[in-house]
Amino acid sequence: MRPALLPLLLLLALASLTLGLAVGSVPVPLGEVWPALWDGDAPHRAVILELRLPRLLAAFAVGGLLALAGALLQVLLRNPLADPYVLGISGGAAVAALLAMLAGLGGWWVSGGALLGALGSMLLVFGLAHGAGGWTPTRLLLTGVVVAAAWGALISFLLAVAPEHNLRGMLFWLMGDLSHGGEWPAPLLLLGLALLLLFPFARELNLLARGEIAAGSLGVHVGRLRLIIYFTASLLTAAAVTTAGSVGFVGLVVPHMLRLVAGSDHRLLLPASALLGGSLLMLADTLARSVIAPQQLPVGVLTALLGAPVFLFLLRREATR
Amino acid sequence: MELLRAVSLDVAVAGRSLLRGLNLSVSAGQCWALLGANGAGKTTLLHTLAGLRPPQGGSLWLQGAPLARLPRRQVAQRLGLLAQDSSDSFPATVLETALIGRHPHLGRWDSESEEDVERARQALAQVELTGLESRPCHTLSGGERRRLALATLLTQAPRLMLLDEPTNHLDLSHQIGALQHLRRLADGGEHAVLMALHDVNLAARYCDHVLLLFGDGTWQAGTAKELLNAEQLSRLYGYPVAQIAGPGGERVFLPR
Repeated sequence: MRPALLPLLLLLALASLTLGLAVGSVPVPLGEVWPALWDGDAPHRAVILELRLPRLLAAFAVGGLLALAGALLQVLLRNPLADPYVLGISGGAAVAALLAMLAGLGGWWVSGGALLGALGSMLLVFGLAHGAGGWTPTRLLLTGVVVAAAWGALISFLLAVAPEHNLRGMLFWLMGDLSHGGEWPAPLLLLGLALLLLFPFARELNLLARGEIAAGSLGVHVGRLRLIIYFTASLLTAAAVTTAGSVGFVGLVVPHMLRLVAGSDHRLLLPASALLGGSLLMLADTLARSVIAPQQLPVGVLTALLGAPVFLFLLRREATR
Repeated sequence: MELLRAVSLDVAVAGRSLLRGLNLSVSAGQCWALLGANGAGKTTLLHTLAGLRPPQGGSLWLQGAPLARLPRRQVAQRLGLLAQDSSDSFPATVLETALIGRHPHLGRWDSESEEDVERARQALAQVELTGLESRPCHTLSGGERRRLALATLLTQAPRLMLLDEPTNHLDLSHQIGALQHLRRLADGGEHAVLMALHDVNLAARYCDHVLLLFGDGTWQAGTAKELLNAEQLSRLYGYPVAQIAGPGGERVFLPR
C-alpha cells in the first residue's frame, strides 16, 4: 500500500480543494466547480476564483508547511511529540504580530512583524542552545520550551493590557485564522522549494532519526544536517505563521499519523506530510467558514477538533495490532 | 594490509584523561579484543577511532588516509561501528533497519537496488533473523535487536568493523554464532575486527590481539598469547583472576 499512498493523498487534496470551492454562502454544485475555473462566463466564477481559490491555496500551503516543519523537528529533536511551535517560533511571531495590532497597524505590518518575530526567535533559541558548545537535542528542546514559555507570558501580558476592541482580532490571530488570508503564492512556492531541496537529504533524515552515533557511523555529517533541518524547519514555520497565525495541531499530528500508517521513510513521509497537512487544513478551513455561517471560526479550532479523534483512532489501532 | 593506524593518540572525556599516547596498528585478518573495566574508556575510544569525536592529541589513519580529513561517507565505506545500544524512537521494520547499512554506498539521489535488498537479507540470515523482515523493530526482543544491529553492520560491509560489546543481550549460542561469524570474516583476510568485550574467555577464544585499557591513561597492546594472563587481567579489573586449563587445553579465566 505504501507506493499507492502518494496518489491517494493527491486525490484527497484535489477532493478537499473541490469541496472547499463548492461550499460557502453561495453554494456551487460540485459538477460546476472545475468548469468555472476555465470558463470565463460561468456564473460563480468571481466567487470561486477571487475568494475561495486564493484562500484554499493559502490553507494548503500553510498546512503543508506546518506538517513538513513538524516532520523535520521530530527528527531533529528525536521526539515524536515535537511540533513546529515547540521551539518558540510561533511565540516570537505572535508577540510581534500582537504588538503591531496593538499599535493599530494592520495588514502588512502584522504579517511582516510576525515574520521578523519568528526569525528573531529562531536566532535567539539557536544562539542560546548553541552558545556553550554542546548542541544536543535535549538542550535545544529545553531552550526552545523555555523561550516559548517566556513568549507565552508576554502574549498573556499583551492580551491583558489590550483594549477591548482589539481583543477579538488578537485572539483569532493566536488561534490561527485564514479569513483575511489570500497570500498564497509565496508560501506555496516555499513549500515546493523546500520539498525539492529536502528530498536528497531524506535518507539522511532516516538515519538521524536513529540517533547521532548511528547516523555518524553510517556516513552522515550530523552537525551540518542538524543545521539544515533547524533552519529549514524554522523558515517553514515562520512562513506558515506569517500567513495564518498559529494554527495548531497540524504540525504535530500529520507526520505522526503518517508514521503510524506508512512507516518512517522520509522519502515518502516528507511529500506525504505536505499533501496531508495541506488537505487537512483546506478541509478545516472550509468547515470553519461554513459550520456556523455567516459567522466564521478560527481554523485552528477546527484542526484540533478534526485531528484529535483521527489521531486517537490510529493510536488505538496501533496498540491492538 | 593495514586498515587503521593510531599515532600517539590521546583520549579524554570531560577533562579526565583515559588514554595517553596510544600507538596501534590494525591490519586485515586480525581480530582485536578491547578489554577494560567499566569507565576505562572503551566506548569513548571506539567512537574516537570511528571519527565520531576528535582525539585530544595524535592522529588516526584509515587505510593510509588521514581520518579527520576524509568525508564522512568515505569513512563509512571503510569503517563501521556497532554502537553499544540502538534506540528506535520512530517505527521501522527489520528489513528497513538492516537496509540503512547501504547508506554510505548509495549516492544522494539513489534508492536501494534489488542487490542492496539481497545483501540485507543475507545479513539477516547470518544472524538468524530470516522470516522477521517485515516485523516492526519495537516488537523484537533485546537479543533480536542486538542481532539486527549486527546485521546492519554486516550490510554496511566495511573492511574495518568496530563493535561495542557485540554480545550484549545475546544468549550463549548466539554469542558464539556472532563471534564465529566475525572471526570467519577476519580469517577471510579482507576484514579486521576490533571489539570491546567483557567476557575474557570469549576474547581468548576468538581474538588474536588484545588492547588493554587500564583507565588511568596507560594501555597495552599486543597478541592475545602474551597479554592474556592471570596477572594482567587481575590488574586490569582490579580483582584477582585465576587461569585454569579447559577441556581442550585452552586457557580459561575465572574470578577468584
